[in-house]
Amino acid sequence: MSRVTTTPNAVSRHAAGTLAWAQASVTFQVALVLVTAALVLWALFFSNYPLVHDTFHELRHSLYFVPCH
Amino acid sequence: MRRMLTACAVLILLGMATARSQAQAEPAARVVIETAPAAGAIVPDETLVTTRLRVLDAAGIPIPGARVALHVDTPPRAKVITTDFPFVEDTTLLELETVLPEGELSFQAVYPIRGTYTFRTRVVLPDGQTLEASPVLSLRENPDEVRNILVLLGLLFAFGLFSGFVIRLTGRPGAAAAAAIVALVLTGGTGWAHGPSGEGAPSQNEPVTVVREADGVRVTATASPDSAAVGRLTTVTVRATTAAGRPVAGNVSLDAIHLEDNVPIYSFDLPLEANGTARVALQLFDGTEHELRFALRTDDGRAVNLEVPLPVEGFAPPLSVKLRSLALLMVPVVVGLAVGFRAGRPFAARRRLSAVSVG
Repeated sequence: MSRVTTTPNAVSRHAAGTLAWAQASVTFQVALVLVTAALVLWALFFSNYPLVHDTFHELRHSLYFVPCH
Repeated sequence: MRRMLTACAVLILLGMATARSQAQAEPAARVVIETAPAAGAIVPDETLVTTRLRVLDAAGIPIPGARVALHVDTPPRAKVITTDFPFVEDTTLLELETVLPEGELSFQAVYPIRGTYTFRTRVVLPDGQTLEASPVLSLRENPDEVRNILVLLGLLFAFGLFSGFVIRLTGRPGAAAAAAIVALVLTGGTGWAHGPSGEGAPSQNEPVTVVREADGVRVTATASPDSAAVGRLTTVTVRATTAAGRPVAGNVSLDAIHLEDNVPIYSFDLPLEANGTARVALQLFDGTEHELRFALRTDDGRAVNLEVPLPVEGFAPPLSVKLRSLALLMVPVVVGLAVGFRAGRPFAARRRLSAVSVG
């Protein structure tokens, strides 16, 4: 009884690797955008750092649900 | 002022009397609270509102000599969407107890946040009857704040949309990484701002007292505690006596001034009690410098003015409130990201196709 095995050739290996990288890259980039947005919003509206807090004090008070103090 | 009130006032609610001393089919008296401008025209944290409380008999005539205890509660704390003064929510804005020689009390106040304020009143009529009523005042948010938050949410959605589109199409995270680093640097500080400045910001609870003597009248003004704080009442007491220590009769006007903007946020005109004192407890809701200005006028025409500086301690909002608000701000980013990612699919496919054909 003979047994036949197939191994992926170089092209399909490369395609699979590219797909995996792309998926990981998209996940990473989406996460990066969300984290960046959250950090920037936090810095602008919720930071206790005096310079930032005082600079954006009036802005916070002019937004419906952004707490100031 | 009376004409303005008559023209502009809105009847918020008639607090029907509950005469405890005797059972009656018809209420003997009622408490009426009116504001000028009307509730719909009041902008929270901006409008200095004239509030008039009247004790009327069944015929609608003010009852002179009634004694009123007024306790104004701020709107209850919202479960999800906070106001810009979370520490003011569900607290007491002011308390006072005074005699109404003409059956009415008028004061001015800036109401700091949107929502429903409850005016818990307890009135003792000259004949000894006790009335209790809890009229309410409902304020809408400043329309500018509503517009501004919609614009911000729209911008955040646009940011998410653009990001999703770009990720689908190209996928270059460099700019986002740079922004993240900047944001990290900005959030590195742990200090607190917009409170009393400097290391010497008072935090003790001992009252501050200022005394002034003029025209034979000695006026003592006390604010307790010394360091007022957002969310907490500061009790202000004025006592006027002669040089020999005998109480004098008269009126005192009290203005609480927000020094940053140099505008009054409270203004009272109270009669002195028989012992020469007047007292009011009020909440100074902005964590910055304030000044209490007193103007005493005796019944025989003498006048004494004095000022009491009063820093107000502000607090950073609770972390849970910050996180809730941040989550709300992130919603349009997430939605925009999903929409942009989906919208970029055909363009990405076309781009791959053209790259293959070029190769």
